[in-house]
Formats: sequence, structure tokens, C-alpha cells
Amino acid sequence: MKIVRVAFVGNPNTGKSTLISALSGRRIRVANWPGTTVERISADLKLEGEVYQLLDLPGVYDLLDDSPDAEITLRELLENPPDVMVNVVDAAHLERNLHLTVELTEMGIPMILVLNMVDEARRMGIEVDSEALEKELGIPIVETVAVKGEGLERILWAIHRARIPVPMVHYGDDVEIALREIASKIDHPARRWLAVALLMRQEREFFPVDGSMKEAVSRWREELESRYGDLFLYLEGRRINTARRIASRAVSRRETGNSIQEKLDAVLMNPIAGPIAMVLFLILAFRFAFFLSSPWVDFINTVSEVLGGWILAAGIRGIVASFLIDGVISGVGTVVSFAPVLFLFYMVLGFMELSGIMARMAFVLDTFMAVAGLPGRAFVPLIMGFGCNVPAIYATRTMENFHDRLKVALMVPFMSCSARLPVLVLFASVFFPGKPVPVVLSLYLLGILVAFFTGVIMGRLMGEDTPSLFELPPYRLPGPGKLLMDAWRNTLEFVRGAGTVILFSVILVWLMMHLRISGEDLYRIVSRSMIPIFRFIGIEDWRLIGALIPGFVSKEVIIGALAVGFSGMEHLSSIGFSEGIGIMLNAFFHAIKDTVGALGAVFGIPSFRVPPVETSLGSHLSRVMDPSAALAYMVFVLLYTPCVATVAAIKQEFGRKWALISIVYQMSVAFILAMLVYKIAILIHG
Amino acid sequence: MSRDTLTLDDLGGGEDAVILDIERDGRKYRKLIYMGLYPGATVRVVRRGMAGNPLEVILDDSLRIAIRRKDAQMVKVVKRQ
Repeated sequence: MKIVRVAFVGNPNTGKSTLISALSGRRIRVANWPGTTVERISADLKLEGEVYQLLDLPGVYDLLDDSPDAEITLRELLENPPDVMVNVVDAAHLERNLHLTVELTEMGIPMILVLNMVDEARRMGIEVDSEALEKELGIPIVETVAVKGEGLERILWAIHRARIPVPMVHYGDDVEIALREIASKIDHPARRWLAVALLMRQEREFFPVDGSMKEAVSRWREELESRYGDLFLYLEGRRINTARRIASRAVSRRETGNSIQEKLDAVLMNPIAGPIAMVLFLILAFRFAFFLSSPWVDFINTVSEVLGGWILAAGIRGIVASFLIDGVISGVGTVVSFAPVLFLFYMVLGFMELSGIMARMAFVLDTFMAVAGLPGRAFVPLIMGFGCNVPAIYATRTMENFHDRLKVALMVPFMSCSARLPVLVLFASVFFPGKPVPVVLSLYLLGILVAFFTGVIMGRLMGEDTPSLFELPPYRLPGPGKLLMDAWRNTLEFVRGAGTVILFSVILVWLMMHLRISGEDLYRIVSRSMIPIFRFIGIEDWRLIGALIPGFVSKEVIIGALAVGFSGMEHLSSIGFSEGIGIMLNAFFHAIKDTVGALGAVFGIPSFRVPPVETSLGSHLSRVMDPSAALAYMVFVLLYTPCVATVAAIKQEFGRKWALISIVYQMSVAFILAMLVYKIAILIHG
Repeated sequence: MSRDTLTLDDLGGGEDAVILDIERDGRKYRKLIYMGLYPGATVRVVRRGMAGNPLEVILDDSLRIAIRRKDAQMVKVVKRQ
């Protein structure tokens, strides 16, 4: 069978991946480019005895851009030239897209051009004459509307007619002589493009060129620079003028009202109404994600309980049962229970990004974020962190600059998530009766301040200054199919990527709790050995320290661990098979009912209820620590590593090194601030 | 370049201008050029965010972009009559 390798190249957001999935149905494969978190989308299409290997290259404005995306695209085109290059362009912004097109014509690869989103262009009053364009470029051109599947069949037809284009840009007679001489010394189809890049002083270490033409390049650079000054600007200018000339021959426009966009922008991008509207939108969207996912988290917990009950019913007892229930089932349950949360958050994020709302939000909130040296888009993951840190880490993907993403990922864990709230509320109501709300709120504020300073310090350390520049795309209504598929894929990626780390830590904690060394569990030994350190923050009871260990897996279990520590083990009961099925079915229908009910609650008024505290735990706690130590303990719980899932997410996105650095950083910050708070509290309180 | 050269940041809402030059500043100016801010392109400031930052600019009558004031000050323009 003949294999045709087809690479899709184009600016960001031109619909390349939509085209590929529309062409190949559900058979697309998504992975990451080696050593990066940039998505690699590919698909095989078998048709009439031929296999088309479709590959989506990351969107770029120029092959020589500084972004990791551009490097991947350029490397792939140079090191693995495809049989055919499909250049996807946004018909509404033809001129800007053609900058890349004219550059691609120098790559020496057969190509076709896909004019996508012609419907949207028409709505904006832009008509592209594809025949005129075809005449200018001399390669097959296909008009499509990828989201509606229009024009797809003609892409394959055009691929068969692809040809190596005549390079579109004429750089002037003297430059052309230089290019010819340099190119003649390069043994690669993209020799002309490489020669231009060399003259621009844009060499990369992976260029397939050797030193023999060095002399020619520097001779010509010197001569041409004396004539034209900065060659980068001069040659790029030639490309831009060529793109402009071609676009002006192919595009006609008529005035349209463009009213919906203008009207929406007038409100959403207004300096006063905009931020208010955006924050309200975010609150509603995140409540939607939370309220709809929490019934399913409860359902997963019920399933775990039933599975545990079945194990006991099967007559398994002792250490084996404990390992299966508290180690394996609890570990898998922790991983799976993140799935509904992440799925819904991904839906919300995808909607915001594709609808054009994200860009507007970045615009109106830019001023606030600039104070911390961040782009406007940083607002979204930071706010999301108050709900759950894990999706918030993944939400940093909305920013394109790696350093910005990393900075925000190190800030997010200090945003107090919903799992920390019950712990803070418990201690606040036991030790500060009458004023738990202001205490908890000041802790939230402390978290925000620590995050802010983290951002400022990281900004200093990185000292990088990239222009904050982004497109404001037209408003679009994203298709539910794409949203669901992307959310599903990303959720699976979390389960696969972060799942093992989480499972491993749950089992590690279980081992600590159950491994006995000379008659005493390791858990108690470790906790006790840390008393000399925790004495600095007024904590001298090993059970308080011990509860922080499972708290590393997830914060909400701290309460349970304290209760077990002070009042002894809770006893699990065995559950019969049919009884278990009944419980699960019941829980399932409850989850459905609660999901439907949640739709209304999204718009309700948030309530801040202080839940009743188990009196026995409260009195136990007040016996082993004073209010100053309690406050320090709360500060520590607020700031130390939020949970292993957050660590796993940071590892998945930024690598092991940064995951470790973040743990060390959070631990040190938590301890130092807890100690400070304790000393100050003692000074005031006496 | 004369002293009274305007930058993109000096433009009022709805004023059309043409880009004259971009200040050379390491890698930053290449980024601006790749986004389409190139000598000869027309620009119009549509609106500004809070405290005048950032700017929404329409490039060549079609592309809407957001740019911070600091970066807009790198773009020298001349008003179009």
C-alpha cells in the first residue's frame, strides 16, 4: 500500500486539528511531541489502496518564531519533510496568514492551500477569490468550513494534485544572487528557505547545513547589510509585501454592520462593566463545573465503600483487607474521583477558549494581573485554584509562554482550595468561637498574598520580558462534540499520567500507617520524630503532626485522620453482594437527581455555613493545643503542599524537577509563616 | 526620526495611523513583526482597558489584537488624514 505523509501547517486557530478529525472521524491519535507538553494530533486515513498519514503541526505565525511550537513545526518540516504540506489559512485574515504561506513556498515541499472558515469571512464581508489566489500561488486551493464538514472531500483530491510551488517572494536582484550562491552549497529541499534564514542571522543548531558555506554567508551578509541595514527586517519586509500584494488581488470586502461582535465587546470589554461581567461569568462557570461534578464524586466514594464492604463480606480480614481497602481501592478511588471534576472544568475552559471569551477576559483583567507581572490569562487558573488546584494547574495551558505558565503553576497551590476549607473551618470554630468566618477569610487572604509574592519573586528570578500580545478572535459558538471530546481526552490523560503517582503515594501512606518496627507503627515513629521541629509552631502532639501525612494525599482527610488518632479506628462493615448493588444503584440515581438539581443551584446565592463540629474531636483538640498553636497549624495546612494530585499535575506539565522544587518551596513557606504567625500570636496573646 | 514622532500608544480611539517603524529591542520586535505589526500596516486603536491598558488595535482593517502600552510604545506611527 502506498503511504502518503501529509502535514497540516498554518497559523494558530485556523482549524487544522478540526480538519483532521473531520477527515478521519474518531480515529485521531493524540499524544505529546517528545519532551514537550505540546499536543501531537495524527490520524491514518485508508482510501482506495492508499494510506494517508495526517499530522497536525503546531500553529505558528512564522517558522522562525521563538516559541516551542514553532521549533517543533520547523524541525519536523526540515528533518522529516512530508510528501505533501497542507497549508490551512483563515479566510477572514488572509493577508496575515499568507505571511506564513509565502515562507512555506520556499521549503521545496509539494503543497496545497486550504481556505478555511470561508463562512465566517463572508459574515465579516470578506470574499476571497480562490481562482485568483490559485493563479497567484500556482498550487491547488480548496475552500472549506471545517466545523461543518464542508469541502472536505476536495482536500484529498487536491492532495493528489499538490506540487512544489515556485517561491513567491522576490527579494531583489542582488539578494537573489546571494541566495542562489548560498543555496547551491546546501543539500536539502528547503535550501532556499535555509539560505534566507542564514542571511537573517536566524540559524538554529538543527539546520541541515555544514560549515562550508559559512564564508559565503558572512561575505554576503556584510555586503547586503551595508546596503539595506538590518537584513531580518529587510527580508521579512519583502515577504510581508508579497503577502500583501497577493491578498490585495484575491480579497474583496464590503462594509458590514458586524453588530453582534461590536455590541458584545462594548459590554464585555468596557473597563468597568467588563471585569464585573467576567468575574460573574467565571463564578457561574466554576460553580457549574463544581455542582455538576460533586454528585459524581460522592457516587465514586459510595462505590469504593461498597467494594470495601464486599471484600470484608468475602471473608478477607486483617492486613490484606486493609491493604485492599485503604490502599488499593482508596488510591484508585482518589484518582477516579478527580475525573468528573476535571472533565467539567475542561469543558468550561474549552468553551471559554473557543468562544473568544478567554481573550476578552485576558483583556479586561490585564491591568490587575500586570501588577504581579502576569498576563491577563493568569486570572483564570488562579481563580480556579479556589475550587480545586488540580484543574487549575492544567488551566495554565491557556498561556503560551512557558515561564508565565510555570510562574502561575507555582502560585496556584497557595489559593485555598475547597478541600482545605473544612479543615480551616473546624479549627476556626473550635479555637475562635464566635468569629470563625473572619479567621478563615484572613487565611484565604494570606494565601493570596503568598501567591502574589511568589509571582513577583519568580518574575525577578526569570527576568524575562516578552511582549504581551494576543489576538482577539471573533466570537464563535463552539461545537459540543469538540468540547466533549477534548475534555474526555484530557481527563484520560490525567488518569494515565497522574494516576500512578497518586496511587503510589496512597499506598506509601498506607504502608507508613501499617508497617510496624519493633511493635510500633512507622506512622507514629515518624510523627513523633518531627515533634522537635513542630515545637517551633507550638505543636507537641504527635497525632496533630501525623494527620498532616495523609493530608499530603488530600487535605480533607486531615479531619478523618485526627478523629481516628484521638478516638480510634472507625469500623468498616461488610456489605452483602445484592445489598451492595442496591446501595450503588441508589447512589447512582441520587447522583443523577443531584446533577439535575445542581443546574438551578448554580444561580443560587452562596452560603457560608459552619458545619457542626464533632464535640468530642473539638474537646480533644482544645486539650492538646492553644489558640496560637491552632492558628499556626491552620497556616501550615493552608500553605503546605495541597495534595499529591497537584504535585502529579505539576510533574506532568513541567517535569519532575519543578514538582520537587514546588514541594520544597511550599513546605518551607508553610513552616516559616506558621512559625511567624505563632510567635506573633504569642506576643499578642501572652 | 523627529522628536514629535507618535507611537501607537499616543493614538486616540478611532484614529487611523500607519506604522512607520518598530523599535529594535532584542527578540521582542521580531514577535511584534510576526504578529503583523510591520511598517506600512494600518492600525486603529478601538478601545483601552482599565487605566488605559492594554490597547485593542485593529490591524489592516481585519485583525483584532490586544497589546500592552509598554509594547505599543515600541511602535512608531504616523496619523492618516
